[in-house]
Amino acid sequence: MRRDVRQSADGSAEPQLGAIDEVPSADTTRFSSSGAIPDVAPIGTAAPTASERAFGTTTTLPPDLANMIAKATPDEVAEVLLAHPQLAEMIVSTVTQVHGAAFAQQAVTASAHTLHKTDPDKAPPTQGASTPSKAIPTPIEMPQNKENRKHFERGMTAAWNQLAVGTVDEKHTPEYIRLPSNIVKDLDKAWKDSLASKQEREQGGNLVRDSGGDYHLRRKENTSSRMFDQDDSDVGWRQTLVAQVHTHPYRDEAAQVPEQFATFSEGDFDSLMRSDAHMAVLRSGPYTFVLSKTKQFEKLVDALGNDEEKLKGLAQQMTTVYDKAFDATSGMFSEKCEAGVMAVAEKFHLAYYTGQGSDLTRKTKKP
Amino acid sequence: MKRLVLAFALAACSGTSKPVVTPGQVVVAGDTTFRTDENNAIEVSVVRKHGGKEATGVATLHDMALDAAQRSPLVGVAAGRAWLSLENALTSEPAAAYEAARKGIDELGTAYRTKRDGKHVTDDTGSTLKLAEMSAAQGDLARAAEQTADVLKSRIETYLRVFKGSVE
Repeated sequence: MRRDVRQSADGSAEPQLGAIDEVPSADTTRFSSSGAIPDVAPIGTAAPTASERAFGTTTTLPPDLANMIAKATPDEVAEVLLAHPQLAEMIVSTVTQVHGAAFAQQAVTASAHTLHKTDPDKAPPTQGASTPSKAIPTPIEMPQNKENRKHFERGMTAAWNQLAVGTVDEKHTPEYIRLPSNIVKDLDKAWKDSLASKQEREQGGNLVRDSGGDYHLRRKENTSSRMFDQDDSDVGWRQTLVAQVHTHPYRDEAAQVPEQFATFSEGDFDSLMRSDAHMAVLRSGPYTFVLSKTKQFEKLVDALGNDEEKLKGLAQQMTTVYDKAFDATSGMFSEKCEAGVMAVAEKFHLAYYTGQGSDLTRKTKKP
Repeated sequence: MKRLVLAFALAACSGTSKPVVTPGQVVVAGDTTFRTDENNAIEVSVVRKHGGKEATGVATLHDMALDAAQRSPLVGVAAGRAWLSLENALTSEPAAAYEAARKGIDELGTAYRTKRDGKHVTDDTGSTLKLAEMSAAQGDLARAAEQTADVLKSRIETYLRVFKGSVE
């Protein structure tokens, strides 16, 4: 048993998403005339912010709704989002203006979580469909302006490449990542295959990058519903290992897991710790989850000198943290698992991303 | 020619020699008995009692010395089998069956979560154990026992797969 020394890439090697804030706008504020300072507009009909001017966002929410949002908590905003899906974009824009991006992200996440919930009195939804739902189609900071949107999207792709080629300092982990479209399709297929037989089966394999910078998923057959054999050496000629991939089907446990999806288990942290892969990619239901190693996590593992007893000790510590957060969280199974993952990721320096389709958002905070 | 002969001799000598056990030796350590057999095999039998029942689990270890066998985590396979038998025997008493399965999980361990030749197991059976705990908390002990026993069985099979050639 041997862990290879991995190539590390500094966070500055690839463009950061934050760089788009520095894109010069034609509409940059400048003093053009003298005179009285104009009145401050009321909330909801606020004058456009610098970000709006740059990205071309406009808000025309009904005043009552705008005033309500101004006083609302993230959970209350989440309820408004659910009640007025047709106004979601304007609501998020207003919330971002009034409370800031972090608050808006919290509200969107809360609304998404509420969307996950299934009425226990109703029959569980069928999860056979491979097409992800569009509850959160894009990151909330996605610019509306076509040119700036293009920059943002390039940034997300660069961010994925950054995580794929090396281990990043936790301070430089990107906010958003965009998975390659062929990998999204492969994950859709893996998910569909997980439910293709009478008994659900975890599917997966190795996500690799070839010398041309393209990504491929090397699938492997599996018949177990809760185990998957990973093989770090299953890498083709001129390919490098990027991520270990697997699925979490919960169709056969629908009575207890009506949402029929859940994020990483405690055992997945053990597996990632032992793997030479930079990331773990998981598909469950309509969601894709990613755990990315950081330099700080690697330092923790490398310090153990590949001693099996010490590795077991670290794995046990992660399990303890996971279980504690899981037990302390009330709600659905997927929410309890999410709490476990967040607790371990934050304590042991892993970057955790979730989303649907290609675009994933980091859920763990930077130190 | 001399060099060639020397090279062959070195190659023959440098091969990893497997420990050899003499058939017919018996070591009893508490409820566990080790018996050496032909072909470098050591039969391990573990007796466990629970809920008024008794069961014996057996596993065969290969290519390890008798003292190494006594320290081996693979002995857990025999213990796991004993607990699985008890769980099956106690299905009419769900609380006892659930406890037997849990004890089996504890004693079996997770030594299969290791990396061998670049391969390792992504083990999500912990999630099923959490669902079993949820079943038990809701009072459905029969379901909890069934879920835990499924995991126990699955983990025993994983030991056999990961340590193929060393335990059966």
